[in-house]
Amino acid sequence: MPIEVEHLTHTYLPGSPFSSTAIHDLSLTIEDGEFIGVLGHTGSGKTTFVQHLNGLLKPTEGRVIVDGVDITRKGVSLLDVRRKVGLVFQYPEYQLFEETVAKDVAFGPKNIGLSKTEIDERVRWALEQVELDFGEVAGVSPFELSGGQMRRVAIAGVLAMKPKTLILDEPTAGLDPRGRRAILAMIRRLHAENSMTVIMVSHNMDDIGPLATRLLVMNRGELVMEGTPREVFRRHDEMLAIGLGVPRGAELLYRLRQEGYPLPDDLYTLPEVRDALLSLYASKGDASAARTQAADSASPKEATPDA
Amino acid sequence: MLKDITLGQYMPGNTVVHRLDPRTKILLTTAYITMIFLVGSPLWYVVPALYVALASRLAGLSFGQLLKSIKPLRFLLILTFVLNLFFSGGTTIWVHWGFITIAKEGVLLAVHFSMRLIFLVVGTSVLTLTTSPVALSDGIEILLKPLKVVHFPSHELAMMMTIALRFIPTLIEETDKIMKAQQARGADFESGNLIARAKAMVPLLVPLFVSAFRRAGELAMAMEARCYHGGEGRTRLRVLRFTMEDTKAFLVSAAALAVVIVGRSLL
Ligand SMILES: Nc1ncnc2c1ncn2[C@@H]1O[C@H](COP(=O)(O)OP(=O)(O)O)[C@@H](O)[C@H]1O
Ligand SMILES: [Mg+2]
Repeated sequence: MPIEVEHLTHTYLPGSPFSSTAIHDLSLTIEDGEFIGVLGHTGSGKTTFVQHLNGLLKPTEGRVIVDGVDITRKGVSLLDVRRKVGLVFQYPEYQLFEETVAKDVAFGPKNIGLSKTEIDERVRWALEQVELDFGEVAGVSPFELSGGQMRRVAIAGVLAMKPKTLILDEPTAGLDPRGRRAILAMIRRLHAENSMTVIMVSHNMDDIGPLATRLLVMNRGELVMEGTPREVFRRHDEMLAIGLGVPRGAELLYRLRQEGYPLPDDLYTLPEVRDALLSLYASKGDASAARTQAADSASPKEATPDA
Repeated sequence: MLKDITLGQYMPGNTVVHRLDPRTKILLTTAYITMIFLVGSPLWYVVPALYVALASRLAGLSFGQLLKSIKPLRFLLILTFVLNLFFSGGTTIWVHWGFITIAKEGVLLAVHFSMRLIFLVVGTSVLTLTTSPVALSDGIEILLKPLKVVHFPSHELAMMMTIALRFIPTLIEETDKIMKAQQARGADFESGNLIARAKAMVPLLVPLFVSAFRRAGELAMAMEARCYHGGEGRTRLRVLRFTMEDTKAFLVSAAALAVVIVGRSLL
C-alpha cells in the first residue's frame, strides 16, 4: 500500500493576514514496510505533513495518493483512509475520554462499525501490543494511569484500527528515559513483527537513527535531505545548520576527525563506532593518546540503542 | 469549520479613536446607547448615523467592516422587521391583499426597530474594533471600582475577563487538535442527526474540559508563584489618563445627545 505525495503545498489560513505556508512543494513515495523517520526543527512542518497522509488536512495544492486512491478528491471515504493509515498525535494521552481503558481503545474499532466480538478481540490485541495487561487495566479509568501508561493506551487506541501504516508524531516527547526506551522498543517490534509501515516524526537523532530505514529531513516546509540514516548523518554541518544534530556516535567521530584522527564519516551506531575506534587504537603507534580517546568513547554516559 | 470563528474583532491602529481612554469609550458607548433609545421617530436616526459615521471615519474603519458586524444578526433583523410590519396593527392601511395587511404604523415601527438594532450593533462594534480586550477590561475595572463599597469584586471580574480572553485562542487550538485526533480514530463530527451529533461531541468535550482544568490549575500556581494576591495594593503598568482628546469626545457626544433629546421633545 504505497503512499504517494505529489507536489504537496499547504498554506494555513490562506487569504488572511495570518496566512503561512507550512509545506512547500513536497513530493515523495513511501513504500510498504519502510520505517521512515521525519526529522526537522520545531515549526518545520512535520506535523502538517503527516496530517495530510490520512486526510486530516487538505492540501492547498498537490495530491496524496494512498493505495492508488487520490484521497484529496471529493467523495473519498475518509473513514477508509483512516483505518489504513493510523496517526498517533503528539501527546496522544490528551485525547483519552472514556470511562475505562477498554472502552477508549474500542472507540476506533466502533467507529469502523465492527462487531462486538471483533471489537473485544482487537482491544485485547492492541493492549497486548503496547505491553499493557488487559486484566489489569481494561476496567480502570484512563485518567488514573501514569503518563507513560496513558500514552500506551492512546497508541493502542490507534493500533486497534489495525492500520497498515502507522504514523507517530513525536511519540517520545515528554517521557522519562525509561518510558522513552519502552516506547521505542515497542515501535520497533510493531514494525518488525506486524510488517507495518511506520512513519515516525522526531527531532531526536538517537531515537530515530537506529530504527529508520529512510530519513526525511525538513526545514521551513521543504524536504531538504532524504536518504538512509547513514547518508543523512554524514552531512553533519548541514544538519547543524538547520538546527538539528547527528546521533552521539556520529558526533563523537566528527569531533575526533576535527582533531585530526583518521576516522570514517559514515558510522553512527554504537558497535560500529566502537570498532572504528578500536581499530584506530590498534593501528596507532602513539598509544597513550589513542587510549584516552578510546576509553572516553567505550563508556558513553547513555548507550545508543543499537541497530 | 473552526476557521470561521473570529474572536475579539480588535483592529490595531493609531487613530484618535484608538488613542482615547478606554473609560471614555465605554462611557460614550453607554451614552450612545441611551441616545438610540431616546430617538423618537425613524427620521431622527440621522443623528446617531452622523455620530457613528464621524467616529468610524476618525477610527479609519471602512463601511464594509461595520457591515460585517451586522451580518451575524441578519436573521434577527429580518424577523424584527417582518413581525413589526405585519403584526403591529394600525389604522392607515396601505396594502390589503388577502390575509396580508400592511399599515403605515406597521411600516414605521418595522423601520424604527430595525434601525435601533442596526445602530446598537454598529456603534458598539466601533468600540470593540478600536479597543483591545485588555484595555477594555482595564477600563471596566476602573469604572466599576466605586462599587467596591458594596463589595463588588471589580478587580477580580476584570482579571477573569482578561484571563478568559487570553485563553480563547489556546482553547480553539486545542479543540482543533483533539478533533483531529479523534477523527484519526474514525470519529465523525459532521454527519448524522442532532442526537448523533451531540453524542459525537463527548470525545471532544471530555478531553477539552480535562485540559482546561489542568491549565487553570497550572495558571493559578504560576500566578501565586509570582506573588499574585488579588487587586489590593496593585499598581498598573499602563496608567490610564484622560487627555484633551477625551474632553473633545465628551463634548461632541454631549452635543449629539442634546440634539436627540430636543428632537424628541419637538414630536
Ligand atoms: N493550525 C494552524 N494554523 C496556523 N498555522 C499553523 C497551524 N499549525 C501549524 N502552523 C504553522 O505551520 C508551521 C509548521 O508547523 P508544524 O507542522 O506544527 O511543524 P512541526 O510539527 O515540524 O513543529 C509553523 O510555522 C506553525 O506555526
Ligand atoms: Mg509537530
